[in-house]
Amino acid sequence: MIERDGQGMGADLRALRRSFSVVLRVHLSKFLLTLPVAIGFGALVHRELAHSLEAERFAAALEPALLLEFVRRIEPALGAGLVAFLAAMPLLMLALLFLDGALLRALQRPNSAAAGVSVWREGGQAMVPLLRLWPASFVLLVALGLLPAYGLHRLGRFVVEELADERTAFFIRLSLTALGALFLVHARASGDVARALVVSGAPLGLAVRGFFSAFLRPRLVLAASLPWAIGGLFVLVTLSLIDVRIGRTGTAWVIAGFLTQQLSGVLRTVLGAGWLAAASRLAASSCRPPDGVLPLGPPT
Amino acid sequence: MPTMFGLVPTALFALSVSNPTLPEPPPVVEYELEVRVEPDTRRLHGSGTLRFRNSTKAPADRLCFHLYLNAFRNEASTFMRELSVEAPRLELDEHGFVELLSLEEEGAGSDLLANARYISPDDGRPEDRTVLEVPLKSPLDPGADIELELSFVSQLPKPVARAGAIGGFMMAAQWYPKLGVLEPAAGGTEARWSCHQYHAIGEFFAPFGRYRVTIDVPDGHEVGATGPRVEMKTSSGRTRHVHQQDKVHDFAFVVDPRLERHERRFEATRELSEARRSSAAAHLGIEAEVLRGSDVKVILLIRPERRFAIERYFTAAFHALRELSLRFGPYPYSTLTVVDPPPGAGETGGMEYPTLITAGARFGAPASMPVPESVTIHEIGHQFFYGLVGTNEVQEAWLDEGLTSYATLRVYEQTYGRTLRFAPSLFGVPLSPWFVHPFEFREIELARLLSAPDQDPTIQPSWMFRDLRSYRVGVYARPVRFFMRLEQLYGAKTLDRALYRYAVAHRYGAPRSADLLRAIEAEAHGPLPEWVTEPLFRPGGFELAVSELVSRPVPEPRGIAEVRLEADRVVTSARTSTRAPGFFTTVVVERRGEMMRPAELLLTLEDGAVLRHKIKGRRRWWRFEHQGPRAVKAELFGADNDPLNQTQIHRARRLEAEHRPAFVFAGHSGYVVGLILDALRFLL
Repeated sequence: MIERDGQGMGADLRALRRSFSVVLRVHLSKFLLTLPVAIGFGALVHRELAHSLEAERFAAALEPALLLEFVRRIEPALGAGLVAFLAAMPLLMLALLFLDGALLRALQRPNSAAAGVSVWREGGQAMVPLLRLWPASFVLLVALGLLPAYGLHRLGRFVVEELADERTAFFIRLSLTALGALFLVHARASGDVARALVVSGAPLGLAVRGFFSAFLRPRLVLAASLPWAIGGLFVLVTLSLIDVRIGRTGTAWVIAGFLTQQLSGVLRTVLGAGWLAAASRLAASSCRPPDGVLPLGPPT
Repeated sequence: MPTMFGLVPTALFALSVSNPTLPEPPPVVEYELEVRVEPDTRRLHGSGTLRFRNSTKAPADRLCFHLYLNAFRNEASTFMRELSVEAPRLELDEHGFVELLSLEEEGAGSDLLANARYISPDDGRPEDRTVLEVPLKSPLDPGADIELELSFVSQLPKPVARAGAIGGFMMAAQWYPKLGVLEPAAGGTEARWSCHQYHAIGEFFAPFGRYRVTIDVPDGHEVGATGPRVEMKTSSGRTRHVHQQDKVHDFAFVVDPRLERHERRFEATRELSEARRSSAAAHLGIEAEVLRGSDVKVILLIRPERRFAIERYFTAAFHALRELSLRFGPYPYSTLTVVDPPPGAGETGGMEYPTLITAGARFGAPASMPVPESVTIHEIGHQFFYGLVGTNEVQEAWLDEGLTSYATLRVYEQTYGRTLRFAPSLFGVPLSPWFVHPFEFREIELARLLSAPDQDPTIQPSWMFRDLRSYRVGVYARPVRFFMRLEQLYGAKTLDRALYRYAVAHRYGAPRSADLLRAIEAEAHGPLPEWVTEPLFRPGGFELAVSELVSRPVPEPRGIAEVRLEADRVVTSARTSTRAPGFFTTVVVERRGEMMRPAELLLTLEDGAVLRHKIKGRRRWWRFEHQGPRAVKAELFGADNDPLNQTQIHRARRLEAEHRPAFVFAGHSGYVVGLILDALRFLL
């Protein structure tokens, strides 16, 4: 049974601080995953634009005409790249699951043991239980998160179809979509509670029960996870605004733009880890003696 | 194929420009109709008289009517068949139609419909009922009139294109049996009807005339229509609005119980002030008095939820009326009605009718996003090119859309500035434009030009365009860039004078493409070269690119210098002369599109010298070589970049590579992929 543990976000932040080096390594791994696409795209841009007099203009802002011409020129390569990206999707999914596992195990470790853990070892050990859980958690996410979110989105369209006042229509649709997003966030957070349980060694059945236990306590779960989701949204919006404002005409600005994007990536990983720390905390509350059956923490 | 359009003596045009006489429209048609509007059934019951005069020099033995609303009668119509697969399908109660119930010749007493038949002159589809041919009892002689009594019933469809009714809002466009245009056939001894079917791509063509229409609506319904309201009577729970307008070629109206009416007066003495008139007249080379216009009552019909857009509409409408009047002669009508279609009726927006336009505001659109401004300016622009210069929109759509788009560009830049932002939207509401970079208004048409393959010429019937994208390229984007090129070649003043000359000379007429080109030639003092007009007549793009620029040190002259025979032995001597100083530069220019336009290659050397090479002919590539200082840059056209060139990226090339764009976009793509991974992680 998921319970209020009285610790709140402070405990999540402490867990995050303990595991910060792991978080950075996870970010580095994600960065490496994006590199093939980045290098490939950069090479295409270099081929088309390195010797063009429009290079600076192209780099400074997303001008529709220039961008259209560029896309038209690289269309064949873009198509092939997209196919390759889609083909690599299962591998990417496995890699993401692996990194989540590593993070969860690091976050569940006690104070002293968190810093020096190996991402490879922890991720590897979490992989099998996470893969076993995945079909069930995916079905539950679709049924209890994605479908309600989509249904509410469609309902919004239906409700405002004949509505003349666009302001009201907008707020109705925004509210219903936000409610749908809340369903999705809640289902995802409940799924991560189950993941935290399974990574800590709980049997599959117990993890699925953990999911339902969490799902039936939306206030508790959302209170723990929503701040991290809102933080993620805030980072996205703020850094997008900054990114648009950077006119990349000088080398210093190019570097500033790149660093802004990297900062955004790091912050997203940190917030994602905070989210997992909250899930781990909630999972731990269901395992505390005397009700619990398992000592929380990765098996040695 | 382009031809030289014949240079009309400049003196003749100078005379007409300095002292333009605005010709009266030939009184070809006179409609006097009464229409009872039934909002509940979306039906219009019409009756009245139509007087038609044969203005050709040949007798006419038949009449041809457009029954445009039959395009929405069923899915078998040419219009619905031509709509792409994503077109909205109409439910049974959403279809529209127009049925001519009776048509009698005044005094003759016989119904002409007995021998009438639907014809499909464009595609031969028997299912299409948008053109009705009505044989006359006896041929109508040149200059003779015929007066017809008619009655009809129309039903407006759900808004699919232009006309339609939804949620109490009724946009009645092409709602009545409308006569086509009787034109002299080639040779002038015969007359033929220009009466095309209603196509998914393309618009309308009709003769100028006089309209007096009584619109009978239930009380409490606001009405907006072509021309001023000259009479209004209320009785038995219904109100009769009488609108009348001369010198127009169509009549449209809107009915809605929730529309609010806002009126402002466009005061000619203030808006077209003496200072503005003098300056515009000097620019156009005419007398300022010619530009003195008269007041216009601007009526905005808008629902209360859209009140936020009232000021934006009026500001844009006044800008447009003022600037367009100063460019193409004063707006001559006493009213201009601007309709803001409500949500759900967006398909009726962005459309022009004589003295009435529909635009479209958007809730939440920030000031930097030109909605509804650009569409308001564009549709008012159509009052000049479509309304006053009543060209055939089916046969030569570029004459109204291309010219209007160019006029919109010029007026927008003059009044709102050169840049704008289009913001992404959430649930139809634009997000803050802070998320997007501003871009040049002029770039819109270039982006459009690049968005579809060039598979159609500009001048061809609208239904023959491959699809809507190709139509937009052909009649909007390419003509705008064509006019921009003319601006470069002859100067803005020359082009503006030519367009003024054309607009004034053909007011209330139906000129052809050749007339416009003739006006330009007259002002340019010479025939337009074939390569200038080629984009109008041929499909295919134009792309001239510097594909190679290499500058290497001159190689050592190694090899064999002399060969001689010494005692039956071949003896060679190596070259010993020293390496020449400097660099050997090669530039290759490629023509990738089908069209060709002469250009100049500017090769900039390290020491600042610029070498020029002419590029002409219709070859696919040209190579230029140079020995001397190292070349650093090769540019086509220099500053005078051809707006029709579809490459900006390869228009010029530099020797040294610039790595920043690759770095920036690698960063961008890495960032986006990172976001995708995070989203995947969340959803899996």
